This record gives sequence, C-alpha cells and structure tokens, in this order.
Amino acid sequence: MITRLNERLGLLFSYVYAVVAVLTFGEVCSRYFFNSPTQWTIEIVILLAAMHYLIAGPQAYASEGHIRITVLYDRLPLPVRQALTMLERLVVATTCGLVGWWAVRQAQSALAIGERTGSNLNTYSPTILKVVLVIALGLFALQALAHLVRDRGRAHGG
Amino acid sequence: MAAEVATYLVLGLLFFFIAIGIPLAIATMATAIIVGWSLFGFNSILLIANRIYDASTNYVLIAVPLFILMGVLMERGGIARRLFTVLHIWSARLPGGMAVGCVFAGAIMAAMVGIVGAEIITLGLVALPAMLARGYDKQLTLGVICASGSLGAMIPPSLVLVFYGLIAGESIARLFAAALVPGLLLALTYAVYIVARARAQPHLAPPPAPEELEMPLAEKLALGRALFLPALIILGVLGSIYFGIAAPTEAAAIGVAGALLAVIVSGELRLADLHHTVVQTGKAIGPVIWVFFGANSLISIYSLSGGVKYLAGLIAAVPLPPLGVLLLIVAILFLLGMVMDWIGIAILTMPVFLPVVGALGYDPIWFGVIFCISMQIAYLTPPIGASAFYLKSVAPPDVTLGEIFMSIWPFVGLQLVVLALVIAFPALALWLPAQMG
Repeated sequence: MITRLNERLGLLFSYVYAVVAVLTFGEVCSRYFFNSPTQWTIEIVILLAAMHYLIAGPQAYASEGHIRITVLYDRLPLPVRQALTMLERLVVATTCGLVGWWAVRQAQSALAIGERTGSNLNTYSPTILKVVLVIALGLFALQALAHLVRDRGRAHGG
Repeated sequence: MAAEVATYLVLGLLFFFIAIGIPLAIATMATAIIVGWSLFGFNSILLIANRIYDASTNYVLIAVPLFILMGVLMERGGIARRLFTVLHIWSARLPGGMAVGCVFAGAIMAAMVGIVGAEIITLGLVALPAMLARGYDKQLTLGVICASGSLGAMIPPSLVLVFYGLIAGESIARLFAAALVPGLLLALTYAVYIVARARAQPHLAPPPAPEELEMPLAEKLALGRALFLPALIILGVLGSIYFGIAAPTEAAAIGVAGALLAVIVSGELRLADLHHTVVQTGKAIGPVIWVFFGANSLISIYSLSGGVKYLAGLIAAVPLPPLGVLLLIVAILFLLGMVMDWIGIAILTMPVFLPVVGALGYDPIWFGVIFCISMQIAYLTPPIGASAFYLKSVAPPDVTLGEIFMSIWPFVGLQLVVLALVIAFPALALWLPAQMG
C-alpha cells in the first residue's frame, strides 16, 4: 500500500515540471517581449520543483530506482544477498528516521515563526518545504519497512 | 585529529555501505549521520536536514529536470530516428559511413539531450539494428554506439557540467562553452578512427545500399529538412546561454518549448505521450537529486570536521610538479569512476580537489572539462560502465555484456588521447569561453 501511495504521489508531483517549464518560459518571454520581468516566477518555480525532488525520493525507492553499485552484491550467493537487502532496508529506515526526526524539529521551528522567504512576494515556501521534507523522509522510511515486510515474505516463501 | 579520524571513518563507512549495495543516496547520508554523531553529537543531524532543504531550493538545479524533460520529448518525437537516417545517407560515401553517421547523430543528440542513458537507449533502438542488418561488425557497432551515446555527458547541455558548475560555483555558460570544442573533437576522433578502420578492414563495414549511394544530391539535401528544427533548438538553447540572454534554467525551458514545437510539427504527438513524458521525467529525477542530497549532507559534515582541508593538504603536499598532482587527481577520478556514480564523485571530491587545483594555478573551468572527459571514460569502462548497461537493456538478446565491454576499448583509447590533448593544450577548452562578453 505504501509502495502504491509513493508511486502515485511521485507521478502526481511529476506534473510540477509541466508548470515549471511553462512558467520559466513565460518568464523569459515576458522579460524580452513585454519588458516586464515577473518577480514571482522564480520563487514559485523553486517551491514546486523542490517539492517534487523531495517526494521523488520515496517514489524512486518504491520502484527500487535509486542508484546502487551492485558489482560486489551481484556476485554473492542468494541467501547472503537476501540478508544484505534486509540490512539495507533497516539502514534506509534508520537513516531516514534519524534525519526525519531532526527535520521535524526544523519544521516545528519554521512553523512556530511562520518562516517566509523575505522577498517581495514573501511566500511561506520555506515552511512548506520543511514540512514536505518531513513527509518525504517519513514516506521513505515507511517504504523501507514495507519493502522489508515484503522481502521477509519472499524469503520465507522460498 | 578530528580531521584524520573523520577521513578514515568516511572512507571506511562509505566503502562498506556502497559495497553491500545500499543506494548511494542513503549510503552517503548514513555515513554523514555516523560521522557527525560520533564527532559532534546527536544534534549534528540537524545540519543534514538543513542541508537537504538548502540543496533543494537551488534555482540552477531546476535546469536538470528541464533538460531531462526536453530530452525525453525529443526522444519521443522520433527526432533521433530521422537524424540517424539523414546523417548516415549523407556520409554513405565514406568507408564505414553508417557508423560515422551514428557518431554525428550521437553528437547532435548530445546537444539536445544531455543524458547518456536516454541517448544510448535511443541509438541502441535506432542505429544498432540498422547497422547489424547492414552487416557491420558487431564489436565495432557496439563500441560506436556506446561511445557516441556517451557524448551526451560531454557536449553541452551536459548535466555533468551543470552539477560541476553548481559545486564549483563556476558559470555554467562558460563551462558549456569550454566543453564544446573538446566534445566535438571527441566525435571527430571517433569518426576518423572509424573511417581508418573501415578502410583497413573493409569486411568490418560493408558498403551502403546502391539506392543510398546513387541518391541525387537534391534529394539528399531535401532530407536535411529533418535537421532543421533540431538545429534551431540547439542554437536557441546554447545560443541563449552563450550570449547571456537566458540563465541555464531558462534556456532549458526554451529548449522544452522548442522540443514540444518540434514534436507537434512532426505530427507524432499524442496526449498519452505527453503524460508519459512528464512521468518519465519525474521518475528520472529522484535518483539523481537524492544522490545530490546525500553527497551534500556528507560533505557538509566532513568539511565541518576539517577533513576537506586535511585531504586537500595531503594531496597538495605530494612531492610532484603541478602536472604530476593533476595526473594524480585524474587517476583518482578514474578509480572512483569504477565504483561510484559521477554525481557522487563530483560532490564528494570537488570540495577537496578544487582548492588544490586552484592553488596549482589551473583554471577551474578547464578542470571542469578534464573532469567531464574523465567521467566519459568512467561511463564506458567496467565494472560500472553505465553506458554498457543501458545498451544491454535494449540490445538483441545475443549481445552479451562482455561483448559490449570488449568493444569499447578502442574508444577509451581515443578518449585518453583527447584528454591528453586538452591537458597539453588548455586553449582547446579555454578559447571559446574567453570570447564571451
């Protein structure tokens, strides 16, 4: 279920790039053709793209898409590989959990003061992103656990 | 002492995590946590969370997904197939003409795509069956495709250079300009090698079909229409960066608009394709960006421990002339290229190498090109050789990974020659950026 959720969420967020491309192209056009650069595109574009980067992490893990170096791993016998994969899940879950714990702190202090960009537009994008980071790391850790449960099922099922 | 301890810890842990197959993004982050925790306490993990947030809000970084989006659009629009058809007919009279066409198609695609994976897969689908059907030698064909596809990492807009520019704080426009001549030089040496080889051993590269040879000039030129839009897009993207009209991120957006237009004009666009394009782009980004996050976290903890300075000092103290130190650095890059991905290498080693290179009096833009060529070689050589794996994924089943790896050695040799040339004659890289305003 977590796997499905992460994959869906990632797909959904991919559409930010359609928006990012249109906005950025529009910005260039408005600067050169209408002589009126917008103040807000860069800020919005950064917010949108960053949200996708963060969500794309658990998405890629859901489909085992992260870059791994498997030269050594591939040569090991199956039982060792299975054990290492379970170890990997635990390392991933712990890492994301630990960073996530501090990301929560980071998000809390941003929420407490309602952190803004401080630019003309002055959006809440730092606060939003810090919260999204917590969600992304949480999903990443859950994904690792979901994989772990599935791996165990497979190992026992033969 | 913290610096020394941190260095051993980082090297040991990172090697261990990577060797047991933990994703690079997490391996670097986990190493950062352990090193940070043991040297500075539990609170230091906040730095990692903060670093990820910081790294995600970089405007230049957005050029990466946009260039990927542009590449995916081009790939879906059937532009690659037309490029290859036109170019191999144009070069039909040369010995090994089809292979030469493949190299130039690769070079032009490299100027539109910038991602090696997409390029090799496209060439593997388009050029590989055509060349094998013509009776080209399998080894030669495989090598040509791997080498021409890898040009995507060298000829601008190259993602390797975008990341290098981000890390080194150098102008991406200048880096692109600097890589252009060496990139074209690489393509040219490949072409020359193919012609020479095909002349010496004609059985490796059978002559073209008569209808291709006897095609009237007017008809050949008419085929060139297929090149028109891609050329316009390349000029639009690289031109606007070179002349400072648009920032790299904006130029990438211009490229996306151009690619979309080209695909619409070609009439090969369906709505479902657009959906796949966006989704494919989204999927391609996660792994790349998270390696960026992880390596960034690690390097921030490591530099906090003074390790970066310590290592840089060690390298600078090697009793060698500047050129010797440079070659040592290149050798380290090769070694790392065997066990690691280029983004990881760039982020982890550049904070160490850049000050050393700068202190030796070398130009960081030129060093960026050296780095880029070294990563070209890393793309091809086993055991990681990403290019070989991409090609294997689309090659006919009777092509083995071993055959692909055997086929690349002549091209690795040519890359080493170009690397030596750029080291010997820095002007090859630095002339074009020097002409910029």
